[in-house]
This record gives sequence, structure tokens and C-alpha cells, in this order.
Amino acid sequence: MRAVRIVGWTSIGLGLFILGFVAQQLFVTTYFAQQANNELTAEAEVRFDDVEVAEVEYVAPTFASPGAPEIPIDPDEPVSTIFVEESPEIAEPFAIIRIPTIERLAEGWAIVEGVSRKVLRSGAGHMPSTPLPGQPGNSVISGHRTTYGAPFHELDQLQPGDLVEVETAIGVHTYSVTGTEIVNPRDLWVTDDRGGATLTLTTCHPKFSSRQRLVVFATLVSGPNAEAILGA
Amino acid sequence: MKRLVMRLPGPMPVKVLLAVVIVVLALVALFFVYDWMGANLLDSGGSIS
Repeated sequence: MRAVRIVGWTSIGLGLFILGFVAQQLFVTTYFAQQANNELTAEAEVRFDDVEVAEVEYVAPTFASPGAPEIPIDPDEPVSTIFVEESPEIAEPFAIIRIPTIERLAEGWAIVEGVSRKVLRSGAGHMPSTPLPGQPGNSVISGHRTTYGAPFHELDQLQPGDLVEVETAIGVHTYSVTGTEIVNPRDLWVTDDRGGATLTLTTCHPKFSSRQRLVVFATLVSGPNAEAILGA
Repeated sequence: MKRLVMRLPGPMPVKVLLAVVIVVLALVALFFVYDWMGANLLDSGGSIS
């Protein structure tokens, strides 16, 4: 009889533990992330007005083989310029991502600098070792898929050609989705520079598991720096 | 539950205070356990590293 009682209470305790876990992860973290997102979005908008933006010369990188003769720069050739902004500090909100075809992201979600577990509690973060959105190179943004507001919950619905907008202090940079891929969490090649200006979104895969990563690739199509980067 | 509180040392106000402290510490510990489980089982944030 005593054994039955112990098994009974243990089952009830285990059930409450699992119920608490599900409620905390799916609802409590989302509630706080959404509250934080409202504040972070407002902070990002303040940064858009306050942060220093500079116009600098832009020369597209060349991948000449070692020992190849250097190509002289023609002084008469018009110099293209791009806008650059001051780098944000870790955990600072500096951009807003909007994806019109995804309901959850249609209104926008704040992007903070950093991808540590603590920083990503606000939902989405920018990998600091990659360029900022709108800059030449591959800008990488990671986000939660099932917890902490789950901003990237429906990332799997993106199709080639769908538009992704990222607003920064420079302006709105629009990217066009080129493809998606499922990779392992340590497949760092997805962060490699692919030439031009690209955006890579990463999130957990499958839903409710952190076993793999869903990666969405996109390329810059319009924005304040698009003409200079794409025309180079 | 009442029996467990009564087993705590000290007079009644101290027992109640101790019980509150133990419950708060247990909830904090539970939060960290949930957070760790969530990051490792459900969703780590989606970063590549």
C-alpha cells in the first residue's frame, strides 16, 4: 500500500514538473520576450535617430591569385560609396526585422547584438563576427523557434523570392530569399561570405528540438547600399 | 505541508520565514532547471557555433 502511495505521489510530482516546464517554456518565456521586444523596438527606433552614420568609399573585394599583377585604380572612374553605422554593443537593440509573408514578423521584431543564450532571451540576435545588415558580406541573424517569443517559428514557410526587410539606422535593407537548408548546429560554413551582401537567418530545427538548424539564405535587392554593392 | 512547516526549527514566525525562503529558493532552482532543459532540449536560440 505504501509503495502504491509513493508511486502515486511521484507520478503526480513528475506530471506537475513537466506541466510546469511546458508552461514556463512556451508561455512564460514568450510573455516576457514579447514585453522585452516592445521595449527593445522602441530603443532601436531611438538609436536610428541618434547613432552616427557615415558615408565611406566602397571598393568591392577582389579575389586575385597570389602573385597576380595588381590592377591599377583608374582615378577617373567614379568612386562608389556606402553608408556605415557605428557598431552596436553586445545586447544593444540596433535593427528591426520584418517579413511581410510571416504573420509573426509582419509587424517587426527587434534584433539585438549577440547570440549568447542570455542575449537571445529577447528573441533574435545578430552574430557579432559577421557584418551588420545592409553591409557588404554575410550578415547572420539567429532567433528562437519555439520559446522566448519564437520570432522564427514560421521560418520554414519562406519561399525563394519572399522579401525580408531589415531596418537599421541607415534605412530599410530589403533581401530576397534564395533558398533554405537544414544543417547541423556546428556547420559554420553557413556564415561564410558569399560575395555581395547577403543575409542568413538561422533557427532551431525541427520545431521543439535543438538538434539541427534551419537556415534561410537571402540576398540584398534594395536599400541605401544596394546600388553601390550590387553595381560593383 | 503544515506538518513539514512544523518540523522546521525555531518559534512559529521563524518557521514561516524559513518556509518562505525555502519555497523561493526552490522556485529559483526550478527556473534554472527549466531554462537549462529548454535550451538543451527544446530551443537553444538557433545560433550556429
